[in-house]
Amino acid sequence: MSFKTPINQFMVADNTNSATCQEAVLEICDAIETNKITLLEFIRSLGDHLTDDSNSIRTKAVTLLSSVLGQVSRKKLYQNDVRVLVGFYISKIDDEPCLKQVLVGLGHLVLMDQFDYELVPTILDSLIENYSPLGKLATVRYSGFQLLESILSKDIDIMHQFNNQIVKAYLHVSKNEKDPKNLILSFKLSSTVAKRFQIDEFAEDMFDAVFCYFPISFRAPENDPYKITPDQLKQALRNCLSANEVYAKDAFPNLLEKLSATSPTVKLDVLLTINQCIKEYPTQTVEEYWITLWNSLKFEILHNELASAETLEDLLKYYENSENEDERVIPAVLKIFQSLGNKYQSVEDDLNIKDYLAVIVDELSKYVKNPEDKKSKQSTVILAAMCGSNLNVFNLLIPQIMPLLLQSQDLTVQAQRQSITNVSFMLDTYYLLFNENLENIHPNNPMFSYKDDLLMLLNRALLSTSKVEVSLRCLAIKMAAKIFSLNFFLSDQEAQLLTQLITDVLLEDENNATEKQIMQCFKSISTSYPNAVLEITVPKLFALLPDDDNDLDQLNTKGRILDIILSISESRSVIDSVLLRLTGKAELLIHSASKDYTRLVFSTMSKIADKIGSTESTTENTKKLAPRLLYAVLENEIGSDEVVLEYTGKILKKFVLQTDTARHSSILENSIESFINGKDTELIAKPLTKKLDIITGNQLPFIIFTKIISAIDKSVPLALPAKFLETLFQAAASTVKYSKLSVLQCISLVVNKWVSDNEYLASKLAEFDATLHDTTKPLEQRCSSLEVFVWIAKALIMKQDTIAQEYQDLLVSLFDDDQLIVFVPKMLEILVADVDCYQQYKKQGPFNRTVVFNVNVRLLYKQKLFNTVLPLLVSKFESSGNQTYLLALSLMLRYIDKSIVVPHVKLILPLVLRSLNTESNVIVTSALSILTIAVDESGDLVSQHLSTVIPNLLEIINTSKNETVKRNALNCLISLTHFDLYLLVPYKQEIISRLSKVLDDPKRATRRLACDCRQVYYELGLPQN
Amino acid sequence: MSDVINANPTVLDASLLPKRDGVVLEKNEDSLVYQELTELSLDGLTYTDSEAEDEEEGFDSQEIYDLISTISDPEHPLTLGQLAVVNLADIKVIDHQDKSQIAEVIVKITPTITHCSLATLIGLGIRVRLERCLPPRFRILVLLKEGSHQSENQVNKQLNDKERVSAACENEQLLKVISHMLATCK
Repeated sequence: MSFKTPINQFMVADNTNSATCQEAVLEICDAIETNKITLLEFIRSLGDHLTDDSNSIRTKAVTLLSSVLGQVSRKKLYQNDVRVLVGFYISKIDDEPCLKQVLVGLGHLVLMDQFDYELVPTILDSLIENYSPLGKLATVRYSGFQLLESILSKDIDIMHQFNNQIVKAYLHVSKNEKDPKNLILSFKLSSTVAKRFQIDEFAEDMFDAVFCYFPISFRAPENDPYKITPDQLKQALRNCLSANEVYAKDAFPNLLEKLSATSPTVKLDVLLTINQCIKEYPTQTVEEYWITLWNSLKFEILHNELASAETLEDLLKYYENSENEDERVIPAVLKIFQSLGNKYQSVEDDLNIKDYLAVIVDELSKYVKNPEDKKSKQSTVILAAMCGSNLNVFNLLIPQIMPLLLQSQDLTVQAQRQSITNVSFMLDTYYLLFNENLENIHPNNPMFSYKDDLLMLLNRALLSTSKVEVSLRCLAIKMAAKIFSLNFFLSDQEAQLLTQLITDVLLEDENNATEKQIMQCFKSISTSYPNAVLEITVPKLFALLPDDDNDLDQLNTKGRILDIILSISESRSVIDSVLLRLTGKAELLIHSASKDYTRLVFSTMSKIADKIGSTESTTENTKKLAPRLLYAVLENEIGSDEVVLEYTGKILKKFVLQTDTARHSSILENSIESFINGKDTELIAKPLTKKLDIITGNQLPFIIFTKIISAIDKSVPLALPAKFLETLFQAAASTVKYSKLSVLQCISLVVNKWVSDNEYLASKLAEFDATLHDTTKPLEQRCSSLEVFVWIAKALIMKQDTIAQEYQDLLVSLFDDDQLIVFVPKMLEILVADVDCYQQYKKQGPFNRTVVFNVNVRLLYKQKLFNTVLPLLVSKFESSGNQTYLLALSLMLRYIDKSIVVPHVKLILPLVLRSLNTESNVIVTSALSILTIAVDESGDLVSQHLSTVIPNLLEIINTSKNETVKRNALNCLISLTHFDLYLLVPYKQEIISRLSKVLDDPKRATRRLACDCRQVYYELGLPQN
Repeated sequence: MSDVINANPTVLDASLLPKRDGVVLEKNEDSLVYQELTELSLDGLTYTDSEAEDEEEGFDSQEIYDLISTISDPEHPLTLGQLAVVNLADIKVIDHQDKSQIAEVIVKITPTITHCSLATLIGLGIRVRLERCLPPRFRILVLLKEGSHQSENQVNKQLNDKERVSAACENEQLLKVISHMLATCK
């Protein structure tokens, strides 16, 4: 085979980057690597082209050679090959047209395995002597940088012997560079050279070579192919300047000089660069400039107002996210102070820095010790920034700063506020070092000696000030919360003392803001010192809960106490203990207190139980607490109060859900035994005097039973589900108002979780079909079986059972039944309604995936149902004009996701527009909600109908009696303003004038919305700003 | 507006401005339970919402304050409420709850300094806002608070002269400034 073909292919091509050329190169490489030809043969056949007089031919030949060298295996070339080729390339370095390819080729050669290091000086020298970046194209210069990059990537130890040449070569190659892409590479090389090589001799040149670009500003042109951002350039330059400490003597003075720049962007760049230099340079170097830096930077903070923030971190974040670049200077300076502090690495060696730190404390102490001084906050923030930098600084400065902060007594309220703010900044440093950086805490931590003073400070602020001083008290409570959150700071006893203080304040102070703050604080106590809450706060609160409501105390106070109990129940141990105590309370209250009070306690318990994290186990609660609770409720008269039963059911459900799955089977069995068969089981603490019989007796406890059933793992087997269902059907015939739905939901759950017998379901369906269509039967009976039927249908449709479609068909066919048609919309609503008993709970399943364990719900069942029912509803409505279909649509929409509706908007919109002027509020409301979706998602459709939509909306606003409808219409009108101006302008005046009536609406909120609406239409079409 | 007339005004904290007491319409928890227990039942099925007809909420000074306190000052990025140009105590509403009767709103504004030349502009802004937001039966009177301005009478006359106000509203330049002021209204 002739390898000349690919060579010729390459030589005749117009564009050497084309695919054919690339293939040609690969083909040649392949031939060389498989030893079909030798390198020499290849070069020989290129031969004449390499020296051809025509620039283009010569360049192409060199390009081919360089490309082949770039693709061929690095092992393929022998030392001698490399030497000869290097010689060849060097001889061509002054051949201007080929220069780029020469540099590329050299770069490839350098990377060869057998590259002889002896050649480095030759290459570098000829680069310095015969190559000048001046006047060359950017891509050529880029190749120059790449060549240098290749050289620097070789064995650095060997390279060190060519130290000076390398530095010189870099300085030569990088001269006058302006192209951003090249600069990125140039900066990278500069920092490598400065870091790896000895540059003392060239310090100034090297520094000038990069500092001349500072501060770099660059705006990427549009369609920039290299996607270089100004930040990349700035960071690359920063890396250069911080690369070697010999720059320090030039860098710091020059940078500080540039600090006086007026542009905040430049200033920020300078500060970030200074910070990086401080971090990178060794301590001895920074030491020299430490005081200079401090003196030049301190006023950036001292002379600025600082925003109010609770923690140092918040303060930094606030300013860093600021849109105003001027403000971003502040965190940059504070970070420099942190870095300056962090240079105090060794207590023994860095004595100078230790002195400097002392100087600073000395300088700032006059501000710090007087909280009324205007600079006290700024000074504290600076010191806090330094203290937080490392443990050494913390240990050194805390004993100096804290006494200053804590010494003043008899302060004005304002000064107290400032004093607390300042102290809490210092506490942040403890948090930073010991909570976040997890430094070891020694018993002689300097902060420990100020505990008493801190408590005193809080005592003063909370006990001896008026309750009107809300902001001071809030600050004090926030500081207390902070103290609680500090790792290993308080001993148990101290924590109790402080908890006592906060509890007292809580019980006395009824200001909303203060109370909210205290609740936040309790969260912090509950997590770090649950015992303090349990031993101090909980007993105090319970002491305030009376055992009856004979006293004149109104429900308010009890409600408040219960709310507080709810809020402080943050950690598991507190929750468990509080639940236990409340159960005890409930046992008493059931006999002595009013229904409202008892309900309140139960509702609180259910909310507290809900706070148990969803991954924690409640096996113990189910075992111990639940039986007591059930006994208390079911044994007494309160067991006929549906509200208490509902709450109890919720608590039980929560417990069962998170109980060990192994126990679910016995819970299921016991529930059936206790609730249905009237047997005594361990589910209820003691035998009940009146046995339960929820099928034929008192059905109300069904509320609890259904909740338990909904929580049971569906993998637990249920014996003879069909027979069990038949038992439940008996109960469904009854009409007890509040348990009826529970019975139906229980049937639904059983079908959903345990019935898979299709024959049974089919026979049931036939039965329903017969009953429902039998018009001779009394309506009541048909209704009753209708309800059972729809809940079974829901169960099947949710799990997308094979027979579900048939149930759905039967349901839809009822639209044609004159008597039952009124129920059909409601039934469709039931099918898609998100009911509590079908809420899905997940647990860890196989392969580490979380799986729903309590019910069978397919993800897309609503979508599927909606997609099949919708066209039917629309066509039926179109043909009959019966609003029932519209009503069905509205009811379903309440539970259906916007995303499911959007694709159907086109189909529904005509209906919506026609239904805007109907009487029924339900229909108008849902028409408006669809319209709003349509306006937002498919504006084009609506914009064609503005001539009907706008007058209709105005009509609704002016005539409707329902406030919600009016407000929805107003909102819809407001959202129309997203449309193009020309569409709306014809209506502008009409809208404004017809809205004037609703400005006098009896409801304030409606009036307000009308104002807003008129305002946007007044502004419509006016020039912005 | 090259020269700022009052460069350093006193500013109130926005969170401390007068607000309507938060009447939280929290639904009674028990009724929620009942709703849950019966909502999806077919018993007693009707398809109407319960229409709770509460009592009428009349216009009061807080409502007027809410309308105008969020207008921004023409020279600071602050609202008139924050600058205490409008104060709740200086707003008076006379409304007999009878929609056929004429009603009146009197707003007294306090310029930040006594020689504030922008007082007329601020007054005009308030006037425009109220005219847009109040039903036509309201008569609107915007006055400077007694003793708060050097040329009090002159400004008052200007602000409440119908002809002059409507002439001002036809000046596009002026309308632009006013619409800028009203842009912050919430």
